[in-house]
Amino acid sequence: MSRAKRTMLLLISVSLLLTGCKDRLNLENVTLILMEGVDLDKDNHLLVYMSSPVFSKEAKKKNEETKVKAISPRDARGYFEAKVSALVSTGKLQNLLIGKKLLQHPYWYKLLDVLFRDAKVRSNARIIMVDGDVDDVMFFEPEDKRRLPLHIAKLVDTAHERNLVETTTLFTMQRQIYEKGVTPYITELRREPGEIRLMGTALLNKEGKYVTSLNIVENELLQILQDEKYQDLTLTVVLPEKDKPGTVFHMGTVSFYVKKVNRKIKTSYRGGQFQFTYEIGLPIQITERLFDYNVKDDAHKLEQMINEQLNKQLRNLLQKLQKNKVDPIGLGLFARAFEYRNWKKVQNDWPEAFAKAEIHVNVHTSIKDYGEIK
Amino acid sequence: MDAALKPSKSNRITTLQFILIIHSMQLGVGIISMPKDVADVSGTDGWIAIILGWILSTAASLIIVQVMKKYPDGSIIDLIEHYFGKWIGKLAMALFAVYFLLYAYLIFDRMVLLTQSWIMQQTQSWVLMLLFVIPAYMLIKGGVRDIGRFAEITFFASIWMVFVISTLFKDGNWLHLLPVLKEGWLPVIRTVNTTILSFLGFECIFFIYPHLEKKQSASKGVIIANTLTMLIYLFITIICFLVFSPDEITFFNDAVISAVKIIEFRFIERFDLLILSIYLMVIAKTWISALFMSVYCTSRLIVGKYYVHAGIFLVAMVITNYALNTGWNESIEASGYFSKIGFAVAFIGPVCLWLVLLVMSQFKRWQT
Repeated sequence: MSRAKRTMLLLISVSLLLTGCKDRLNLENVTLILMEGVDLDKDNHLLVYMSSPVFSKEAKKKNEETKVKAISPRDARGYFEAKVSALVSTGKLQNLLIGKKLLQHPYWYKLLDVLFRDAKVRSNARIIMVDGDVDDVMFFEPEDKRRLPLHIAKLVDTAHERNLVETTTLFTMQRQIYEKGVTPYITELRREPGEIRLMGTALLNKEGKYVTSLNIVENELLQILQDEKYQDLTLTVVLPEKDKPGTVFHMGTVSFYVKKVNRKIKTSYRGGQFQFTYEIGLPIQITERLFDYNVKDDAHKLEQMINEQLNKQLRNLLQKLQKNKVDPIGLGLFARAFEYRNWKKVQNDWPEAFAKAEIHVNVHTSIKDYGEIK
Repeated sequence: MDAALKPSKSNRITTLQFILIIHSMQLGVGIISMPKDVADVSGTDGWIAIILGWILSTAASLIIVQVMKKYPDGSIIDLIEHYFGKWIGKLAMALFAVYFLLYAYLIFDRMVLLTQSWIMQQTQSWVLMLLFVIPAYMLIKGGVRDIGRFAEITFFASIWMVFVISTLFKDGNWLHLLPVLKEGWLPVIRTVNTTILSFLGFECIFFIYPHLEKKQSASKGVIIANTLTMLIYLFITIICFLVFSPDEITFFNDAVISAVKIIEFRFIERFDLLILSIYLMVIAKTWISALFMSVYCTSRLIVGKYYVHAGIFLVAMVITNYALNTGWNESIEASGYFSKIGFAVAFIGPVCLWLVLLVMSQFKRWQT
């Protein structure tokens, strides 16, 4: 036999074997779940929701949404398949909505086991808390937006780029659950009458129970503390020294764009408690200033005033975290890395040790640019 | 013995092929569970144990080269026959045949299990095995030179994976590696047990050495091959340690694939499927080479063409898999037992043989 013939024979015989693979699935037989939801109803029964796009010209709506009662998300799959057009697939999952009511119960994240275990699930799906009922979000069909699951995905991603909310995916959720030195946090959104609105970040404790929320401004500060600034980070502070009485406006307002976050953390252990000292260098560019000031001659004094305000805000945030015993910053990682012996004593109860820790923050802004006008 | 198996002009291999055959015997399924296996014993200090394992395996490889220098024109079988007589030679043949056959089957089986659990859950494992039977048969029939060329092509065709996996650095956190030596040297040294076995495969020098064109570059070749393997192991393990938290990594059976799963570009998602599918080629060259060594022995031991033996073994493997229908637990357990044999064959065996040969060469009778 010639070489070409032998190659052909090989190709044919190998391709004949391919029919033995039973995993073939025709695209028209797939219903792609873009958004899944888990919640509890008023009698504490587990509700599982799904939303998937419809590609039929005859269908009037772009999406089909379904709700079933089930004992677990995997158990819900069968009920879904009995209701929706074709066989469900989680390979393109974008968002996973969790109701606030479910988050009141410790270890709710065990319900996500199927999503962690199944190799076919997309592990970059975002986990989002719904402040309210998942029902309201799932069956919402805004007229001026594209398909809701994709709209929410875009909304969350772009807001995260602007440092307004944290995002947690199925993959990073596992890290936050198992890592002893950090507590989990997820994006928080709410259904408003005509729209979906991002509220900030929900903070959970080590058992996964909802503890408190950070609003959008606090989230920006959190990302400075985490050293996870993405794109644009613009902060606005009101300087009491420059505020004028007698007007309805805050005349002491100054806004600036943070070019970079230079975070340094000193970790030590003294007198039975951990001590963290933050030195945060922020090169800034002033983008808005409602009072008159000669930056050229006396930039240092303005920097001092801004530092003071930022220090205050950051300290307030840290106090809030310590009071609630949640450490989304991951200071536990620093404790492990630099004070390993002391860390080992508290590693199984890090949030408690974090609450007792002494944390100092010193912000050092430096004005690099103040725009086109004096 | 088949004339095709004798070292001759037509089946010589270049130094690069020599390096890549050794390297490709080493790099296979082990790496996929390696970060977890290492972290199980010594946490994020495990990467140090990889370097220690590399030192030991390089030493063992160099000893094998020293042994082979005593009889440069034949394989280990010829060497043993020359020094110890025909019957001990036959015994060695049988031992190596069984060893490499088990080696090939266990990796083949593991490869199919990986394909099954990550890509095709519904398909029977023996059906997946069937897909590889014909290519494997054709490669083995081509002899050492074809295996060398396959190793070359696969190596160069999989370099891109390094760049894709490097994108994971942005998801990593270097704090995970600190403090270095958190529990001292003891756990690290205990991990060497695991890492040393991941370098198994260099014992193929026993069989490919006579085919090497330039014998003087053998020592250099084995050092390069071991170093290449070590660098890849180190790279993958450190990436996984950065991406996964130290408390978390032991929960992931195939940490490397789980990590690769989060890589996404605008135009392509689910890199785990893509990388695993192509990585199957890398895994395939491990067990195909091993099967070649096995039939090299059996075809000398019993009559018959070596590629007929290969065909029979391949079909037997599929039938065995169908009949036993084993899963992950059996595979992991069997690999555990096998690695003990591997340690004896690749580390203890060569050292003993070398010492015996050193003593024997003191006597006039053996000084040829």
